Amino acid sequence: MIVRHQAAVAGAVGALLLLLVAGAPAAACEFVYTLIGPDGEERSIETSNTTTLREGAAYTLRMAYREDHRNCNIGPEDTLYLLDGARWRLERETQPLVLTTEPAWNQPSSRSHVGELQFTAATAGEWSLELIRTCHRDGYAGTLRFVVEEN
Amino acid sequence: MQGKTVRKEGAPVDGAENVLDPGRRSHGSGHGETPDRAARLGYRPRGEETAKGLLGAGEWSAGRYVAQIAFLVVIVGGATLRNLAAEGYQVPFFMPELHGICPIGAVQSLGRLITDAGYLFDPSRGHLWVLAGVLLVSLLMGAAFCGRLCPLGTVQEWIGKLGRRLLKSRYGRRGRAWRGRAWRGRAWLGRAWLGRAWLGRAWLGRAWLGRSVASRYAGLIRYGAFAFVLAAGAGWIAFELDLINPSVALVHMWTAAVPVTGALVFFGVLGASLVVERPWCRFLCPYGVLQTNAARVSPWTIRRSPAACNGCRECDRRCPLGVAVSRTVAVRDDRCTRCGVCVAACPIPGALSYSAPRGRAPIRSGLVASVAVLVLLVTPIVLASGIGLYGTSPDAQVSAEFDPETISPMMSLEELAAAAGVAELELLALLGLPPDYDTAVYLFDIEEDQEHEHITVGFIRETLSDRLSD
Repeated sequence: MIVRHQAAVAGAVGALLLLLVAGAPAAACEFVYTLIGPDGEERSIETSNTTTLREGAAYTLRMAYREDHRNCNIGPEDTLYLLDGARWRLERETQPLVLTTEPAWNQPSSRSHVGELQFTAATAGEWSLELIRTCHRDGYAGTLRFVVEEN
Repeated sequence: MQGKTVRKEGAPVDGAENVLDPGRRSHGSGHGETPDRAARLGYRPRGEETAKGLLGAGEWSAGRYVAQIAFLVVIVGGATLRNLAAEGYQVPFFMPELHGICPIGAVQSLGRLITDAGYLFDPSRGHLWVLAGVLLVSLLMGAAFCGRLCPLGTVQEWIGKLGRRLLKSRYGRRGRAWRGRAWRGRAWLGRAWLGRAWLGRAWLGRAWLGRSVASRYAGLIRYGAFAFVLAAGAGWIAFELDLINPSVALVHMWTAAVPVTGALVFFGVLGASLVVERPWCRFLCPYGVLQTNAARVSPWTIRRSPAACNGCRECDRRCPLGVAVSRTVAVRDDRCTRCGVCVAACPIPGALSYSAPRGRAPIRSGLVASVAVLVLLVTPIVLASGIGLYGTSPDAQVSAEFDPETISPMMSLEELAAAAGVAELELLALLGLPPDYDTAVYLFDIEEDQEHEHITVGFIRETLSDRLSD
């Protein structure tokens, strides 16, 4: 009797475990952003906030992420950058934020990555920069919002 | 003071306390007494307990072991499959790297929530709902997650069993390894530093530096760990938590690279587990801070009926974490993981139970307790799924209500057509692409072609948004 009871409850435990793990999403690789201004001042920026930039000023965007509890097989170089929905291309002066250096990544520790890119806030207005890392294990998608103010 | 009162309440009716040796270990049904005396004291043979519906230690333990083993297999096995899987291969149904389960990752996520409230409402950040499940378990059933599911706790417990076999009486049961026989017996600190005046009671050596500091106040280190991890999660401290995370090492080190320091912490915890029961849980675990504090109000806890208890203290002796169950009516000790060993060991039917106030709704089996923990754990996830705050996969999000603003540049045209519910030809016409255009092309690649340079992801989003609003 006890054995049957145990088997039944063990089955229920197994089923619940399966439900738990089947429904669980992957924990994505979270990015942490730091913006370094022309005066060298560093400030942390969040995807939920809008960051103000000065027209014509040059900035460095530092991006850091960690492969959360997983070993991602998509390298940081495969991160996709979309500025207002279009690919952010090097030295393309028709884009409101002009990318002046390609993102350079390094790996300070296992599964941690830090990258930097430089850009110039060329055109006044409100612009969005999407950073996307797509993989079968969820990846990451974040949007930074910038307001470039006229001088 | 409390101890004296409770001991009085719990004293056997026939003055059994005088004939019992509190230090004696009881084995089997005899409890070290003759059958007549055992019966007089209220003991019942184990077989009789089972026949009456009480559950023996075996079943309580089995119920817990089933859950512990299953969870460990799922977590480590799933991670292993992932780590070994070829690039691009997705292991179905195995999403074991849940921050909500990791003792550091969960608190880290909570820290992140402090500085980014939007994190909670992001459907792809579901581990916060796992964390909510763990807290729900703690609020209702105490720190039962630690005792029944936590993989790191499970491994420590198993190593502890090995430690007991190797060290026997020297194993740090009830915190003895910390306070040590030297301190307890000779109170050397009291003698050497404070002279014989202190020796009479040796309160400094025994009480302050002994059990209290080691087993209780040392647990305060966890609060420091909690604050540190929370601050790191919030971004106030720049520190790579994986460097000290034994959970990552436990899950990944067999099949993937982990920080050497993390592996050292992990093996340090295992080594300490050989001499002390669950050292990580008791002294370091930041997640334990959340759980044990939530557990202070849990209706289901280990409850002692002073009227039924005969004061034999078998529960105290059997508790692997040294909780003085016999000195309380409802266990609220931070160390208690609701493993139920004390309940199973109690020789008096009804004297101890894992139940709600006044002994209501007692949990009578280890397996039932494990199932209840699992049900509570998944409840917030199910609820969050119901209101769209818990995503299961990127595909599932796409197939939900289509929102052009969320179009991913990594979608192909054919995937976009399916998600938007439009025919491929119609989509091509809408975007101004020729009818024979390859629909397997990713959206972000379309602008690579100079002829279609204007068809950016932003353009596609706008176009589809306009089309859907018409």
